[in-house]
Amino acid sequence: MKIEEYNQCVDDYADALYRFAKKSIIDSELAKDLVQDAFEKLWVKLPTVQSGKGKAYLFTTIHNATIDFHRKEKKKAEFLNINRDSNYEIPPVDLKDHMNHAVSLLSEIQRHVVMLRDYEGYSYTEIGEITNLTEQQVKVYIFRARQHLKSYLVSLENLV
Amino acid sequence: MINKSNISFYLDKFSSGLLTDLEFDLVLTYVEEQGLPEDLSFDTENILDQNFKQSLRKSDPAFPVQFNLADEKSEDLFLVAAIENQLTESENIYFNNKRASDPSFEANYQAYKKTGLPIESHFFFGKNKLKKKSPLKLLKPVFWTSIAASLLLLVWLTNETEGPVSAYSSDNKYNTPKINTKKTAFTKATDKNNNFQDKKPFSSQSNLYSDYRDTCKKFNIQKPVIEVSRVELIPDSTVIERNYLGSKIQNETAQYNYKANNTLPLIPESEISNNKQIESLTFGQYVTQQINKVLFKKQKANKQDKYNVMAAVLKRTFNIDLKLKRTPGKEEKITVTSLTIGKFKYQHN
Repeated sequence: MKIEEYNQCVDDYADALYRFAKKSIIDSELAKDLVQDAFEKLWVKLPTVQSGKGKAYLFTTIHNATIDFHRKEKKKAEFLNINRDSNYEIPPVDLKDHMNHAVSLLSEIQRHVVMLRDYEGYSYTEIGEITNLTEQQVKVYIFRARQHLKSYLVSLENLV
Repeated sequence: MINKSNISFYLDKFSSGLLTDLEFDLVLTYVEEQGLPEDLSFDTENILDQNFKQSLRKSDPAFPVQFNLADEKSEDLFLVAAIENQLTESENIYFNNKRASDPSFEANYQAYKKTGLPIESHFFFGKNKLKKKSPLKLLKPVFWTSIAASLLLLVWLTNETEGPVSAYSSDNKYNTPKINTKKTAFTKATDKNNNFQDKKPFSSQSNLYSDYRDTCKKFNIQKPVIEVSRVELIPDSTVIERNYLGSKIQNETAQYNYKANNTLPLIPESEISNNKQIESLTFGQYVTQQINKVLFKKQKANKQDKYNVMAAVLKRTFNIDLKLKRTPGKEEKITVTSLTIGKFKYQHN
């Protein structure tokens, strides 16, 4: 991969990576840090990354980084005995917030595959490469994620 | 292989309707040929309900699959597959018909349709800071600046203050140092060398050099940069030595007759080979140095002498034939009548 391609990746994918990270970990500053780290890793591995594989590499990196982040957070929460489903969360106001809330309730892997599918338009094979899953597993996760989202949204409509 | 020991298992499957075609054929063949085993009995109480068995089965919810829309889960799969654009043409037809005919199916579809994440734009401000510059690009300005500086230096060394010979002669500031027979004749070697270095190139002041330079340009000849030795002059040790050497040089200078033949004694190669300090000189500097070396030994060198020496140096060192013409008048001028460099010959009219 050449430097020009790297800079093109910055132009093309920085926003998408930021959106991916922010959706996953909520905190915008942390999301920025993760994006920066992802690009730094790409820069270090620039000679070894094949031309045209920059996007996949970046999303794989950010996927792994967010998974790691959540693992650490989970351990931290367990150690401090913090209940994440406490009343401290800001209640959703509009449909977008409800959707975001529904997405946040998904498991990490389900959230990632749905986001990669809907936001980035990746095929099942590509999502599988990024998340280290088989195509069938990706389909299963997408199906279950959509089921959860649907049930959440339906229950919401019933409430309204 | 179906045999007496496992026939009961296949019969169970048969009663449950789970036999494949191949197994069915095998069971049928076995029953026809061997007959049913005597001890085999069908205990209906031990047979699980077909629907219960089906409920225990696990199916991979991956789509597309063979949908059985009687099953709710299968309908969900079908709808998700529809959202994901994974239906075949025939399934699409069925899907559209179903939507039109079944309102609950349509409502379910609309609910699933909302699960598609809405497009949101997040902008990563300051992403330009993530961009990297090529190391080559970083070097480029330095590289070109160096080239430009080198070129300027080269031009300055070879082309500085070109002026007419008359100006040079009237100015007379580049005269070679005159030898004083007294103590000053033998100053320290380093001082002498410094004197040479401080002098601007003699030949670069003349039209002759510009002629040569033009010729070089015309024939794309690279101007030579010659490595020569800095001549280590004899250090002054004693007065006796000075007197001896002074008289020796005077005798030698008497031998130089700079007449029409422009001959000049060759400088021994030892002067070049026995160098202690190597320095790079331009063409002009080298010629100037060679001329000054000769003229240094001559007490009164006039302009004619200088040009004769220069012509001789050019002939000897670079095989350049240079013939000069003296133009008498108020402002005495020396012009080039002919210049021969290899096959090139320049004749001044």
